[in-house]
Amino acid sequence: MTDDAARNARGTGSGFLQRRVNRRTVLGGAAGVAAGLASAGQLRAAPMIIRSRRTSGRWQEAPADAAPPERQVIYWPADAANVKALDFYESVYERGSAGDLFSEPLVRLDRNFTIQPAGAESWSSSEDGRIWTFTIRQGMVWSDGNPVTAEDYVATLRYAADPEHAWDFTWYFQGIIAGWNDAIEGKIPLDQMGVRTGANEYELVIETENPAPYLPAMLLYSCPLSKAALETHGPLYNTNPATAVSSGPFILAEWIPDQQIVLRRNESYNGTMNVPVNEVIYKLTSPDNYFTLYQSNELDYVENPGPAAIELMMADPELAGEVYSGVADFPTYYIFFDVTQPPFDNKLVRQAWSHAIDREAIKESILGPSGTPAYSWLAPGFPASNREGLKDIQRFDPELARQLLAEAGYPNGEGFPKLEMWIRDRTPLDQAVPAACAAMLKEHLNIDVELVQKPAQEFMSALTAKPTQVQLGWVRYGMDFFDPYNMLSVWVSGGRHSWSNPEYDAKVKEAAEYLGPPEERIRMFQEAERILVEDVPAVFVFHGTYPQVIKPWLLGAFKEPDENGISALHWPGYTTMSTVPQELYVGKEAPR
Amino acid sequence: MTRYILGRLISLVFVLLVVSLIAFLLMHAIPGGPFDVSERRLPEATRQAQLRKYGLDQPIYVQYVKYLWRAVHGDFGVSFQRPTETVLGLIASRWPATIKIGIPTILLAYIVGTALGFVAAIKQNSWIDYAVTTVGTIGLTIPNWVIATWLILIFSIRFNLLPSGELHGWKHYIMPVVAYSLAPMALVARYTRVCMLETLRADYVRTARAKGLSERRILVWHVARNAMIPWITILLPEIPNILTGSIFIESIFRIPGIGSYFATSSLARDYPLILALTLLVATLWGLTYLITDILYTVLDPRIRLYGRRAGG
Repeated sequence: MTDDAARNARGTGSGFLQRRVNRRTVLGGAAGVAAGLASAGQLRAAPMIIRSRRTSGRWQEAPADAAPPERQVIYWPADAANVKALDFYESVYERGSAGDLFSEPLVRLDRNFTIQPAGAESWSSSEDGRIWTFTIRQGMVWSDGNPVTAEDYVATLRYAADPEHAWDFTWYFQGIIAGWNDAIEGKIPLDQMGVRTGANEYELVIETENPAPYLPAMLLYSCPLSKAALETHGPLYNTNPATAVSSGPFILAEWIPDQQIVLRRNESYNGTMNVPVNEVIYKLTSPDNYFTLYQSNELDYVENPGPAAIELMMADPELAGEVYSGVADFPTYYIFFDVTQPPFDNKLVRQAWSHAIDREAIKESILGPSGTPAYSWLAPGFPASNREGLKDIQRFDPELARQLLAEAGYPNGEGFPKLEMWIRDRTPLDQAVPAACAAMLKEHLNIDVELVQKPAQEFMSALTAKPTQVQLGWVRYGMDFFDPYNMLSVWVSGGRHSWSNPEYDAKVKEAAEYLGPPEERIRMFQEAERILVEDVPAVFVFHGTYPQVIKPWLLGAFKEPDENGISALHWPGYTTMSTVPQELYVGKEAPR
Repeated sequence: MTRYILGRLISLVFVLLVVSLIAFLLMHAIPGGPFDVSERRLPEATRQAQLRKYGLDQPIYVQYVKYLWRAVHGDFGVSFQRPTETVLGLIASRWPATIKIGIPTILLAYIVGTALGFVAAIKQNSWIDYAVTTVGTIGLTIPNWVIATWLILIFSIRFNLLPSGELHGWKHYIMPVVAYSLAPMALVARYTRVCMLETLRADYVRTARAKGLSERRILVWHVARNAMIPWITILLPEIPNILTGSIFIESIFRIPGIGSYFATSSLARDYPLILALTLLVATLWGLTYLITDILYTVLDPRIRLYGRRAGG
């Protein structure tokens, strides 16, 4: 977001701003409303969260089918080659899948993917949406006895920006937190960045460059490090049980490199979740072994074990019940066009393509539990998703497709150039689905498409080059943070693709910085998405719903469908950034 | 002899120096750096900061000289993949697991392999010979990870007899050692057979027979001893290979050894670990060849370690 964009947004939305109350404060679950992510679910869920807090994170009423406490142990996979540290603020891409259980993020996602208060019990923003104050929940403690305060969150964000740390995720807050860009370049001291404590030690203040109603959603990634531990033992304190400190539901008990990591219940946990499980054992190994370990009952859970494993499971009526469709990072897989060059500068051609792809057949014959048909950009369950409302625009209709192509001057595909479709990723789905699409284009439109696999680096640099060097391609995008702005900004002019639509750009920017009623903000994003889908810069083919295999003795609310009909372990998984840890327990039938 | 060994050890140091230089240049020439893990392009400032943090912002010759200086002082740096461990500490803690699998593998492969090859040679063209040759071909052609997967499938998942991985009790050793030893065992059997067959036809064996020596004495003193020379040349260098582990065996059986790091250190561009492992392998090979050369003189008095100039 540039300053110009912010000024434009303020210009167009000034009426709203002037009508606003001076300072908005929202409490509890309604806090999510301020983030513009509201749905009724948030308000409903809020009292539950507060009640759970009174139980001090202890599991009080065990269901009758639960295994006794000493057997509340779950076995989880972790990639041995990819576990440098366990804290998000130490390494994002190399923290394996273990970790993120040692402190409470400011907010977390519940199973309906709404933002819930966690480490912050409420938050508010200044009138211009640039100064955000988070009230840290009192009573949370670190296992070393120190209280969790705003100081911990401040120290963590300053450590993240520290050039000497050189964090692998600094791009995330670029242009968002005031002074962040200068801080990571070492141009200003870290304490001059827009992150500080407020009126008291339980107030965290974050200043943003532009109005940022999406900031609370971004701060899902905010599991703090302990300031005291950082100072005493350095940033790697959570790699050694002797120095480990936790204010989350678990604490590091053992780490045998290349073998296993054991997290044990943190007895001093006083956060917002009721966590039934007493011990999490991460088996450190290569992902190639996950499924074998699952078969030999050494793992309770594997995500995306691969089509062959899924096929094997689905063939057995008993094992088929252990396969669940998750949502992962809400990815959308799509065919994109360079709309600045023929033949794709003609909208009729793009529309013809969009009506020639039979997504239901792809679901039926290829995807199975790995995906669900896409007709629009935002996957079901993602905020502002309007799958049903937009379904018709790119629907499968081969007759209409042929008609549109003829109108465009290519009756029965005559005269249409033979094109290369570039493919970036190498997963089985990234091979099979584009091949099916090519076959459908041939069948319904008599168009020949050649699939060409490219190395990822070459693909991305050609794609984002200005002007783009990819005429036609197949790729995916998954979210970074839980706000429509994140996904929709991919299509803003000058970004990933050559498609440019000033009306779309304006709508997305306006919605992103909109501080009014959240329903209105959602509606604005939905309008923007409609422009995107109608102009067909891409044919949206499927949303990835990466399958999970889960042992039948893991029980709990995760098995019930959520508001979107998804029953699985919800993204982002077994971490304090989601409510998954309180939705899962070990049943009596567990063999161990 | 001592002088010879000392000379060889000194030359080994120079070999290591050259190896380290080549490895250093090669690994810096591979595209991609150790920190290119971000899904989005990192801000330039952070990329520079990462390089600075690990001293990779300096000219390559400065980096190399610094590395050598520290290495001479026993400091091989900290692994990029495992920021809590020094490279030496990492090798010291992982290598024992590899050796624990490696030694039984060597024993099994060499003892059984030699015995099979020996018997096959004596009973040439018998059913035993054909069986050994067939099994040998299979052992060499089926990769150990296929065998490992089948073993797990049969003995762990189907019959639940053996643990599928990790190293705790003796049961945990069975499948990895068997899977790991089949290929070297086949190699040993085939070479033993061929070496034996060649020697069996040698003139001095015929002479020995003509002198009326017992068959046992001929086989042990004349045939086996002479057959050892090509055998050692080919098979001794297998030992450092086995002792540095197999990425497949260690990964599939979840053995926390050093084998996987040969691959992961390269993939992760873990420069300090790549260098240390390369030097480790070079040292082991250097020592193995030294031992091989010394063994030659023991087995064949005609071979001398020094004074090897023309006519010497």
